[in-house]
Amino acid sequence: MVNNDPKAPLLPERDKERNPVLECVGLGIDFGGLTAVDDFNITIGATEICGLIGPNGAGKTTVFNLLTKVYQPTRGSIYLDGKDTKHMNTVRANKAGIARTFQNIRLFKGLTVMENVLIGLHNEMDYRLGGALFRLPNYWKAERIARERALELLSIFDMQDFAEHKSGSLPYGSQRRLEIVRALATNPTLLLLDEPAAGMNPAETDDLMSNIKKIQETFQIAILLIEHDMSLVMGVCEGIAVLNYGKLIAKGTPAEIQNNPKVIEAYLGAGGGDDA
Amino acid sequence: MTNLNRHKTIPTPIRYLINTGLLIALIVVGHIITEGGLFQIGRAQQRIIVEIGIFIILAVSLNLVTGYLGQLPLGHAGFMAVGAYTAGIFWTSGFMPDGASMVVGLILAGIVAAIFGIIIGIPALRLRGDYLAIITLGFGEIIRILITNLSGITGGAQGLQGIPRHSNFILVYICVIIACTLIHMLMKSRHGRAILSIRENEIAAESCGIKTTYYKVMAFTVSAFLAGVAGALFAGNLGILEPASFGFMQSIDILMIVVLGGMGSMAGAVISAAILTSLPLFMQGLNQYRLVIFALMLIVVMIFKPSGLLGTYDFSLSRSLERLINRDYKVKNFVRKLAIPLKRLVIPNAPGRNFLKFTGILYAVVSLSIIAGSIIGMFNIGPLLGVLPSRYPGAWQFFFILNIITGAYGLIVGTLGMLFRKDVGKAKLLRVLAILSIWLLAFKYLVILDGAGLLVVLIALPIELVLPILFKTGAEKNQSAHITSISEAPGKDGGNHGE
Amino acid sequence: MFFVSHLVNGLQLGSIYALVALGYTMVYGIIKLLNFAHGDFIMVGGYIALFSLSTTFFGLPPAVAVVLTIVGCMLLAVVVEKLAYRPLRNAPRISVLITAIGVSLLLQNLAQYFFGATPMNFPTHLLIPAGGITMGDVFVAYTPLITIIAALISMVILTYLVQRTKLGKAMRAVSEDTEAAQLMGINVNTIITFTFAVGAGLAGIGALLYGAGYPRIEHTLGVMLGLMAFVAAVVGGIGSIPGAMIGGFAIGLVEALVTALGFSEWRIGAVFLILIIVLMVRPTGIMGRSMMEKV
Repeated sequence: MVNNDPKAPLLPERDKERNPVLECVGLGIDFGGLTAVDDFNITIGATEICGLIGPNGAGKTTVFNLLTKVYQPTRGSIYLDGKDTKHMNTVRANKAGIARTFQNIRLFKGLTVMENVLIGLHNEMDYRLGGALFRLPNYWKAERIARERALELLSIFDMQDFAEHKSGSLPYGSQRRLEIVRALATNPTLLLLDEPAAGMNPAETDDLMSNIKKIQETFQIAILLIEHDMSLVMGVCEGIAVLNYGKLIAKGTPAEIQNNPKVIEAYLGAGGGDDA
Repeated sequence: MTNLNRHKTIPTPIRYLINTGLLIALIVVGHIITEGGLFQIGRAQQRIIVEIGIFIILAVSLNLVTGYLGQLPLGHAGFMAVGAYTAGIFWTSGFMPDGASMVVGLILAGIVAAIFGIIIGIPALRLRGDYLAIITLGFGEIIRILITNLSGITGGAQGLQGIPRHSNFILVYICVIIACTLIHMLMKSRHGRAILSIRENEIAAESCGIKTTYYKVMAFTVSAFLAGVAGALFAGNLGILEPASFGFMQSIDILMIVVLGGMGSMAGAVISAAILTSLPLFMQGLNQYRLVIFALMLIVVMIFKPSGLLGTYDFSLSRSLERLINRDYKVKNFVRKLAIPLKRLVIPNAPGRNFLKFTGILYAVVSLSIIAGSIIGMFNIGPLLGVLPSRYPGAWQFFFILNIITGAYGLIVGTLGMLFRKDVGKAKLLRVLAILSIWLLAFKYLVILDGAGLLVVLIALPIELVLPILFKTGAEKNQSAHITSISEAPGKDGGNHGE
Repeated sequence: MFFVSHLVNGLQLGSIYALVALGYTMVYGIIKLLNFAHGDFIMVGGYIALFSLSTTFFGLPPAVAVVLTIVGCMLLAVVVEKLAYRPLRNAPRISVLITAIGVSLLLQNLAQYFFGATPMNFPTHLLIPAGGITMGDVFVAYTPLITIIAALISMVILTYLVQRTKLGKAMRAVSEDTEAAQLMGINVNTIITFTFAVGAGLAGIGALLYGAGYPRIEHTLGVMLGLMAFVAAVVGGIGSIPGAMIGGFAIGLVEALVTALGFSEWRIGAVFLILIIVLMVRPTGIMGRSMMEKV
């Protein structure tokens, strides 16, 4: 069933009491003459795992860029934890609780794994320039706590032993996982994952699925992921939104989406075939 | 990494103690050498030693913005000028008694320069790399024009005179230590990591909640502050100031020091500053070629090791000591680590192990002979060795040998290179550089070269030019822009290719 | 008369800036490189022109000198591109910029080495006859007239080349999307080299006109000229050919205006002020198109 009501019951039961972490109303953006995204509406519950799928070029990463304020929307609104993000830029959006990974990995390749995560923890450390220059006690304390936290986060993916390795020298899968850890370090309420399973084999994808669930349980945050791997999407998402040519064509539970004729047409009709 | 438990680390307070002790020792020893009359160092040499310290500060401050932040400002000399004139004016105004005014002048110079840094930085740092370069260049020039035209205060084009010579060894090198410590403390903190993250991937940094504009301006301002202090020391060293010495060329000089030493390596900047500033002392015969040689070095280093000679390597005494304590050193590893940058500089992307050895040896021989030749030339020991005719004065001995060797080298490596190398582009550059240098000097000094050298040149060059046409191999055909495989398409995110 | 003579000065200077700016903008458009050495190509061209024309050296007929200058500049650009810029095609931007600076320094110092530091006199009369035309009570010398006309003609030819020929289409393709152009079978290296050559050819024409109008040739000639022309290219919109032309004339006129008002030492300051304002307010320049970075 096509479900375009922004307040539609995509919220899982446990989240019905709390405010949704994300609400998009009529979100859209034009690039010159091209309308990349149009009338995008979604509500994501506070601890929901939600999927955003669609054929290539449908505008999924554009939605992510809109949510993280890399692009400013041409129309519509985004409410993060109830707050309107209209006047925010990427930095403030992150401080407001939204973190992301990128389609092409954007790690700080020249820096070590630990340094990458510490950069994610940047805003959690509270000493100022003076504290750093004169090595005041709050510097030492904040750095120690941050390093402990970083190792904790890395242990989710069992990467703590690689802390001093140069992040650029990690294998591809590990780099992707590191990006997730770094995003988690920024203490978000909503985590955006852009094709986290790209380049992974089925075993790694299974691992990723359980890790995503673990992240949701441990941190009690919501996750929105873009993915082409249908086993991952169907296995881990509680709600799914489908985009095609920048427009929402369906929204619902995995079961509903799987049998939705419009969705099937969008994938097959676009020549994409099945992407599992 | 299970031997983490057995790895003995030096606790932090002791690290600080060791470093402090070392620095104090260096200063004391340095002071005794330069001003204690032990080695009879003349005034001129003293001034150069002080100048080395000044340029160390300039280099590490520029390195903060180029190496660590990843930008390319071309107006560093402008901040130096601001600091120099601020201090100069303050010191000549006799505002304060001598002792206090020395330090106050320095700090004032730094602060005024930092203010300029903020004013210029906030608009300029919003721009992308190339534009930042030009706009900072413009600001540097505007500062210079301002100084020239405000002759009431600054003495205009004739310059400011009578500045008290405050800059002795101790003052300058204490400032050096403070500057390096400042930068070190900054970089090993969350602010420093933020700065590095901007260099690595600005968009990702923003998505982690890092206020990029804030940190760019911060780095820029700290860099300007230190440049201002260096400028003040410069004023106190020379005693007079003129606007012409703070132009674009001065900014480029400092940039060259940083680039050659390694962008992102403070140790590299220090070493590079020391060597390049003192070079005029040792290269008296070659002074006219200084800029040509430097320009060539700049180009060559950029092509073969874009991150500079020492790259992003940062020296840590404690780390080296730890390795010593833990016996975590193997001579083989050490030698290999030393050899890698050398190899990369000399043998770019060479395929095939045998050919690697062969060209490696050849390149090594060539490089060594160039060095040997220059030593022979500089110290005029040619006649002693019976090697060269004594009618060649100083530097020409250097170039004479360079001619012969590069001619032969060009011929041999050229042929083999064309036949075997895949990455022909860079090999060709070296060859053509070699031939160019021959022609450069042959053009003007044809009369000085004697028969042997001239013969080599005349034979080498035409063969060199004809060879590529005759031996255009399959590898060379792949060099032209037909894609060999999609996966080899160049990366788009500005990643280093092959380095 | 006052007004007209300054206007003519401005247009003459502007024409030269426009020609140089075109070279900058074409190279930037195609490989996103700010060729710092571009101004020095003109300096070399100036010397070539001087040596060919001047009777103390080779005393060649003006037509030959013109051809030699243009061809010489093109050759120089091609050599520099192949040796210094091509190996760095995939290197980080800073490295390429630094290399360009290195090339610029190298050219300047080689020129100083070969030709000495004292400026040489350009024999304008051998290239452009003295005298001029009088329209009413306004006298315009031949030199500025020919400069402006030559610049305009060059621009027309260039626009035709870029918009109407297959080669021009290839150039535009490479500057839009290098990989896609390669996939379409365009030999990117050749196109890039060709672009450099065309830019340098225009610089050669600029060198001749510069020598004619401002007969002092010295090794630092390229520095200020290059800087001003760069500002012109940016103000007009870097990557845009009509932008370079507009920018060139604009900067030339501004410079003439400032000089006319008596503030000639502030010429550079005024021009940079304009650059700063433009970069703050409209970074893509007058005619530029905004480039969105793919995230």
